Amino acid sequence: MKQLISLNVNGEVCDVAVEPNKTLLEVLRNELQMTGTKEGCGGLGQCGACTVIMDGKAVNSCLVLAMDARDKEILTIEGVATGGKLHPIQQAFLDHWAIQCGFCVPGIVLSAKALFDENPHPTEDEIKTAIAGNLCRCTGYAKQKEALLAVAGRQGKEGEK
Amino acid sequence: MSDAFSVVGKRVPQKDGVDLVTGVGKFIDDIVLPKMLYGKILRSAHAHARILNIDTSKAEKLPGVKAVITAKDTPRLRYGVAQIYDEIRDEPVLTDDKVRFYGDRVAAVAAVDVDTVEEALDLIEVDYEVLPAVFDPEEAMKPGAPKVHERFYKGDGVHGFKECEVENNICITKRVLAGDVEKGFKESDVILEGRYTAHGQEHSHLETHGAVAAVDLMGNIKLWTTTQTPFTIRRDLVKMLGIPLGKIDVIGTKCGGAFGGKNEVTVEPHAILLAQKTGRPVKMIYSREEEFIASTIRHPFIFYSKIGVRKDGKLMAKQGKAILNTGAYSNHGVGVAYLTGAIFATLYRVENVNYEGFVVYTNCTYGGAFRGYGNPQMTFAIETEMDRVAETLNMDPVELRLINAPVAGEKSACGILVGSCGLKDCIAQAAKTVGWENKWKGWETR
Repeated sequence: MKQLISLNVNGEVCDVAVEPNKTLLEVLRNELQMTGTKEGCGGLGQCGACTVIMDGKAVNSCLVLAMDARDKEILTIEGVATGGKLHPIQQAFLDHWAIQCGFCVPGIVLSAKALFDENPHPTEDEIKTAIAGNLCRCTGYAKQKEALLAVAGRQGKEGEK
Repeated sequence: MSDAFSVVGKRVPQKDGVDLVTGVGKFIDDIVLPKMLYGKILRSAHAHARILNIDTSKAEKLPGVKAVITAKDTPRLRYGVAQIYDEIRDEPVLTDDKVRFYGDRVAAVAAVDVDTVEEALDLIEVDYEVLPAVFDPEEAMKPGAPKVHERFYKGDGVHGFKECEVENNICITKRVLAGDVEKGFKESDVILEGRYTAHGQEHSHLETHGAVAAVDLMGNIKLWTTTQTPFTIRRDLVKMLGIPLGKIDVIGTKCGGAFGGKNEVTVEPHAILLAQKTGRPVKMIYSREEEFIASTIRHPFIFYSKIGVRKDGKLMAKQGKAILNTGAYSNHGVGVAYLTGAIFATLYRVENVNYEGFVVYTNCTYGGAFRGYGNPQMTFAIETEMDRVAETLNMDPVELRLINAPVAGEKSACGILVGSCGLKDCIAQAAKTVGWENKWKGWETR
């Protein structure tokens, strides 16, 4: 039986009828038509393509039941660029050619944003740890790391490309 | 780079970069059409089995199910990936006689949502007569091995297609013959033999395969699909569904990684057939599990090699037998076997070549196009062999490669003109970059 719940997504509270067994990912994509959040591994929490920020923490939305996301602040990729401007992370991804197919990019942007919101100048290791849960099959991560280091105002470790 | 160019030599912004970085770009699963249904494929529970009966009645009665199709709802045409020569048509849209790998396509269902589709799949009853299966291509080539295909249709690109018996599960044999290998071996100081194997590999693009099909009252088909090759998909759909080319409009969506794996038709014909039957758009998306079970892989490879070399390092003769495990269907096997032979005859330079490439059916998941297309398997064997040759001759492996590397302008033994080739420069540059000169202390000190 569907239940009516309120979700706070990107600062907007919306009422949505959900089956109790549906994940936040399913509700975002299928009920709210917010398809920027991707499904890659099939709801196993293994690829990170479905990453959203919930109460300040990056989470796999395929592992969160929509019912459990009530009363939380949820940020999806659709809410990252504000005021007609890209977020610095998004701009850095473009400037550093960190995108190939782009399927993993929303998830990586949100994992990184959760880090930068807490720590504006993370080290390279902190950046790597923050995006460790996000699979990318195209890039090999080098350009993405470069982009995020630039946002952090750092260069890569010495001698490392 | 000259300023005369506005694009060449300059970095230009990624055209769809903003769409991708903001989540606006539409991948296949992001497409939703009014009244759209969801479809899935019932897959075989056996590697090799005859289908005795399929009972879909319970599934059809489940509320929310709009269509169930089996082979009898398809035109029962066999298809294969188009080749210039030796096109083989052996693959059905839905199997009508037997299943040939665990995951082969038995039936398809369209319903109002994914949960209902999955429930309906469980309600389809299939009676199987389980047959002995073969998974090792060398076993499959032996007389008396289980037959994966009894016959297929083969075309030569000129005279159309004719029905052929399949012998010893050999789908096709590709040969490269040049010079005189026996003479080459006689002139060699050292002859080495080896057996090399490379396993299969799944593309694992982050976005799985999928398609959305819509059919209008006039029978015009609009197909959205995640593909690298919309025109190939359209051409293949004509072959498998018998629909005129002009009736099919293929729209490639954003492609969430492919690496060769999205050259293939997967759910497109089933989505079209279900859309035709229901009159409603149908979306079909592979689960990650299906991706591993049913999408193509890099061909597993066994290679028997014999190489003859003169003391000064010059390659004199190469003989090789490649066995490519194409699995249940030929797919890109023919092209991969050809390219494997071309690589063998070209890298490194040699005048006397005898290559045989066998594409062999087994009851494994089937091989397809994957970045390199036969090249990684063969190059692995060749480069390993070159190191063995260098060790046997007690020669610097860099030097051995520089002696035998092909150069632009020459014709390789298989007749390919080497149009451009930076291999020598690349080897020299790599050796310099890693400081090879100081590192190399001879084979004894390894």
